[in-house]
Amino acid sequence: MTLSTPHTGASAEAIQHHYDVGNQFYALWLDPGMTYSSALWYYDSESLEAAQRNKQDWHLDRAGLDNAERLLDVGCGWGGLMRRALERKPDCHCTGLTLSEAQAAYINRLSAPNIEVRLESWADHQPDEPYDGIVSVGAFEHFARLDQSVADKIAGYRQFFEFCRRNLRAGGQLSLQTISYENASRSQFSQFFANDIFPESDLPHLAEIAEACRGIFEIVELRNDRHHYANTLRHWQKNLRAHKDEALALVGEAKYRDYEKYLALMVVAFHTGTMNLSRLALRRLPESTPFTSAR
Amino acid sequence: MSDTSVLSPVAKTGTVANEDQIIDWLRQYIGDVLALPEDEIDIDASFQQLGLDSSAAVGMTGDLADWLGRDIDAAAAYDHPTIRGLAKALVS
Ligand SMILES: C[S@@+](CC[C@H](N)C(=O)[O-])C[C@H]1O[C@@H](n2cnc3c(N)ncnc32)[C@H](O)[C@@H]1O
Repeated sequence: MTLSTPHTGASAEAIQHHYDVGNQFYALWLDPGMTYSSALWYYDSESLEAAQRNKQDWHLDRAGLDNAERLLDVGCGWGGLMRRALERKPDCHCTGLTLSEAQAAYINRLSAPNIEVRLESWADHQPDEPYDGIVSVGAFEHFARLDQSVADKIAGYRQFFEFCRRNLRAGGQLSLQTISYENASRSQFSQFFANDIFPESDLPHLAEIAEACRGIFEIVELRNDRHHYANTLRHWQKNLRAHKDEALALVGEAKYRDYEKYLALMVVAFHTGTMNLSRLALRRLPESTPFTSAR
Repeated sequence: MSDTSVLSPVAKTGTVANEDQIIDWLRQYIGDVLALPEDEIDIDASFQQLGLDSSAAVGMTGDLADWLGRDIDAAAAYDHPTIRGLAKALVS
């Protein structure tokens, strides 16, 4: 492994702790597209799969897919959003970044044309050409650590926004989705989450995102959709329970219990509003500012 | 299933319980988790006042669902935060 640790946020080792539990295990309870983030419902009757596609389309629209030739997905997971992008626009070239070897291997095995997956942090990514649009869904949660000061945390987020501006064409858009703290603070972040589920990770507060992107991106749209995440988690819980025996055979009793507990605690957190699910469309600001008078 | 001994004599799935039986189950369960005598557990006190943390609360909800052999929303103990309130909600 030659991955370098990003300046901020969770290391490749910590990410792999979570995501390399095994593709087969996640396949038991995620939707067929293997999307591991909150879906978006327009009608209650929509299936999880349909709601995941709504979510992907929401972000692809805001990243300007219709006019994009090059699209970047930061934290691409198992690649579902890129596959959706190519369904809609087959000549678009998609690059996905992940720190998980299992995810990269999964995407490579599908060998889809026009998808390139890189086992690389955004902090190390140096593309030859700028992108027309950038999407990042469910990865921002890993861009800061609990042991950082708030100032360091915001500085780290700011580096991410600077990375996006540097690699986005003028006027290009970034569509971002992340869990955020709502009616809670980082000091209440459960030790169970911190140690066992998402090591080395901390969540942003909306105000920290706004602060970190100030002067780099303008916020065009914002949706807070915690109930959609609670719903997504309920679908995952149901799927996991329905495949309990297979799950036990794959990961054993202790891991199974951990995931059961983690999903239940997340339902509670979104239901009660300690956490929120924020979706933001951001537009790159021009680098030039008004001339100031010399006198 | 929890490994608490109170559960062993009880059928693992499909228990049909009335409000009082659910109250008794919750009392025993919480007494067990907190190592308190059952009669010190006020069924109108909030789970939080009784001393359950969020992990214990979702664990309790999951074990109760197993005992009853049905789904209970993971957030049920937050919408109905007392023993009596939760039992009532589950039978209504
Ligand atoms: C919860 S998954 C979400 C995956 C996908 N976007 C989805 O919605 O299904 C988080 C992803 O972020 C990636 N990730 C975390 N930190 C990263 C970083 N610094 N650079 C690139 N990817 C990162 C992980 O490897 C993983 O693929």
